[in-house]
Amino acid sequence: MSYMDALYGVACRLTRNPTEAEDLVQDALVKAMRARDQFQAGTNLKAWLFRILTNTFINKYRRGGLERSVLEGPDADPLADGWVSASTMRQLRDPETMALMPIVEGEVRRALDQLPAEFRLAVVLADVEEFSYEEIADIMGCPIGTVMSRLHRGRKLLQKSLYSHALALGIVKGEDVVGQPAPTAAKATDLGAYRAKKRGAA
Amino acid sequence: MTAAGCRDYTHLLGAFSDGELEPEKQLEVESHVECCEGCRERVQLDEALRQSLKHTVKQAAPEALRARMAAAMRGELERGNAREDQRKKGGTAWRTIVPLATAAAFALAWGAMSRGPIAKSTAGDSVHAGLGDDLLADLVAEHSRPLPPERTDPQGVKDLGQYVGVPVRPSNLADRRANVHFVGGRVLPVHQERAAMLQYTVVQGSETRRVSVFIFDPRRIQVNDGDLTPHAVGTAQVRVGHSNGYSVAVMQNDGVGYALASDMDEDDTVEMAVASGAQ
Repeated sequence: MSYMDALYGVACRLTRNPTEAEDLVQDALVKAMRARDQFQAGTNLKAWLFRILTNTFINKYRRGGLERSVLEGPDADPLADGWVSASTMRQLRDPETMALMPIVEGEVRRALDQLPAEFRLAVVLADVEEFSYEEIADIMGCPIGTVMSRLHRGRKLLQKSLYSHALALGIVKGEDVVGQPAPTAAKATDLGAYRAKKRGAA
Repeated sequence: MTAAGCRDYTHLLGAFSDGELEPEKQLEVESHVECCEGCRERVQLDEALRQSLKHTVKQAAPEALRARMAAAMRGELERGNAREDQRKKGGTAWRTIVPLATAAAFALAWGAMSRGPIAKSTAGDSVHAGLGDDLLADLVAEHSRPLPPERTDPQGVKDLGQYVGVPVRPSNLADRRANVHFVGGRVLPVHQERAAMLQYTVVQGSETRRVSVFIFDPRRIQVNDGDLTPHAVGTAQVRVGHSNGYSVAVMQNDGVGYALASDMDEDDTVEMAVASGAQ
């Protein structure tokens, strides 16, 4: 994949609009060409181009910067680190492709596009473009700790959203998203039933 | 593993998968993940999400965008060219770059037009100065009087990698360009180490030119390329120059060292170097 493909793919997810993505890539690359004296040979060209793309996006579409949406986004309601049971998580995956179940995967783009921009960008830079945390911090202009928390929350929000989708499609059985898996979660796929049983025993 | 144990680790699992934890912490989390089914599933779900994200996000830039960019780059280059001409009279390397700018691969064009090194190379004569490096001169000598190839089949040539310590991929060049033909490859002793030497012929008009690509482990074999002119190409740097009448180019990519000696001109040699290192 050339850098242009990589830039375009990320621009599509940033703008959520193919036409705007083309404009964004073009603006960024023209800026890069004009600023090419500032690029230090031997340093990471790809990261440099993505930093220009990110800054161009912020200047063009998000004058307030990436931070603003944190306040209005789902970050205000931090997701518990816990997740559904091991067997439910397993049902979301396709063992053959090592990816998500195809029917769940079809939903990934929509789920991604619903994330606040700074989570979306962090996740895409790490998981798709495989930048290191340090490079992402440089590209997004934030500390590494912020990168880590954006990545963590972004991935969890995506998984939560995809889990809801799978639930709606009946791929997985209903189970509360809880702070921690139930002690016997390895066996009890249905936490509700487990609790009912426990209540009955008490 | 108890729930309390998981609580200590869940927030680290992402950084663990990304290989971003301190080595000690990485091992600690790994040993927890090995014995905790829940955390193992979390890691695998993260990985599944990563794979699916790749499928979703990766897409080729539309041809229209490539065309627009090529035009925009030509415009920028001409503007740069005009500035450059005003600053100093005389020829510049720009005219050799413009055809590259039309190439679809942005990285290639970018590398060739990175201004700093090029501006330096416009001094002209300095590029052709002697390289003063034995190893490079040795490689050029191997190119000018090549030993016959030991292997000609692609798999056999790939197997040379085990003697060299880095992957040897012979097909890249010939696959990319119809006028490039792969002749064969061999292992070459270089200063008590080994390199692979791949030989190609390139048909340019009525002429047939030869290119030797030397592939080596850059930790074992250091090529003194200080006298060569750097071209940033992608994240890699190609250094290019002349030695003993041949063009030479040196680059590293993904921990593999490449040195080229060829009968072609510098620009073509750079292009071949980039194609050699590209996967």
